[in-house]
Amino acid sequence: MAGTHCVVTRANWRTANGTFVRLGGETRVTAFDTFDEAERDRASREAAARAHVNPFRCGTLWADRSHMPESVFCDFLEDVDIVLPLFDPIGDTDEHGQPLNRYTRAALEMKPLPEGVYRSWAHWWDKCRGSLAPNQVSRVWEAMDRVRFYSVSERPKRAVAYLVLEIQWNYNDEWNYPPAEGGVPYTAYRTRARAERECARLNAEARTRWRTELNLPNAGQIPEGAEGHEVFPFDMQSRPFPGDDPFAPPREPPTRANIEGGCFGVDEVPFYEVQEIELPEGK
Amino acid sequence: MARRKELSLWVVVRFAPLVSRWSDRPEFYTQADHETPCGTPVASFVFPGDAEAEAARMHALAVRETPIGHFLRELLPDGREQLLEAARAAGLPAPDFTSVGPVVEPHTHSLGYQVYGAEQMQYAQRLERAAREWWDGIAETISPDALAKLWDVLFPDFSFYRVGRVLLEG
Repeated sequence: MAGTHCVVTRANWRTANGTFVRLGGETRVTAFDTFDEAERDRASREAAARAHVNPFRCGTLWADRSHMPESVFCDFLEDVDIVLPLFDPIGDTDEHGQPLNRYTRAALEMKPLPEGVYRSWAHWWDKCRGSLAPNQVSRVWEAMDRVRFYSVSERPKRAVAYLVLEIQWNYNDEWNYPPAEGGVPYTAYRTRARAERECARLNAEARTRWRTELNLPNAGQIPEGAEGHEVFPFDMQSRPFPGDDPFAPPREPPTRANIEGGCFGVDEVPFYEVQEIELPEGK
Repeated sequence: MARRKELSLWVVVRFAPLVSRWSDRPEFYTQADHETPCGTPVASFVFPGDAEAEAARMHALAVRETPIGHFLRELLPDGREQLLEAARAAGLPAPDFTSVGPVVEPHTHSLGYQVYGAEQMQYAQRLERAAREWWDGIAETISPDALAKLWDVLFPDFSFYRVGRVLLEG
């Protein structure tokens, strides 16, 4: 493999309202000199993602998840002694034929079901995943062959740079939220250490600017009677923190004494982050 | 004092579609809140033309595999005819809007602005449902060419990939 290396990439699964949807493209995660090293890394990341993700909440159609028809999938599960669930699904419309709104749907989903009956495969996985044997869990993932999060490919070896990205926070009239991933590329550096130093400097500057503009208190100096969203106005529900597993559930804001509501504080969220990128040949 | 040497780098950035937070389904919007290329950098080039060509190539791949059904809500309720036209252009069965009924226009207030009430809301919901059912009916069998055609007709000005210039500190 002279002149090439093995790159681990993450498929572009985007989470939206509790469902992962695979959009086009992939993201470079890391690279190794040998396929075996890359494959070990991929397998470890894939296992971590599977620990968090419900495969039946990936895609919206059966064919998004598996090449097998559902009836074949059922046989496939029975081969490893999985007891097939019974389903009592919630329809799309109410008794007047009007589409269900999210609140009515949520209320219907809360209604109790007899034992062994589930709303959907996703509901079954939520309830039964913990009681399945490892070989049964593997069997389900084997069948869900279109739900794969990481892959390895051999590519020409390139030098890399470290881009500092500015995260452009938006405002929805109540709180601030970042884009789901990435940011505006700012400057690229030859070493990660240099990029991380610049990123830290820019983050510190941004925090000072936001603190001034939004009149935010210093850490540990929360005024009495302050509204949660006024002093902790940064929502990270739609974006993982730098270094977090992108398939893990979003981090919850810390519990605060004497204050209700709110998201994260200005000192707790990123305004810049570093991302590795391959340089063009010869750079 | 010696100045640091800086080089230009042209970066292809993948746009992260906005997620609708007020839906119980996975729905995305192509409209960004800002105009600068914002997203995940995926490739870099010395020359801007190469970066633009790569962005176009990657967009052409993306529209052949990205399910457009999750993006249709952005076009509704105004895009009813557009959806019919796109299905025709892509050689696909047309959405069945018979259960949706006729277009329900908003009322015009005496002061000139438009008022949207429950009727418009219910009409929009029926239309969204019909569009979703149409997509669910074709999603498994749609060819990459037909999918790309839908993207081309329904979102002619949108690109999943954009190009931005950054400085590479040498």
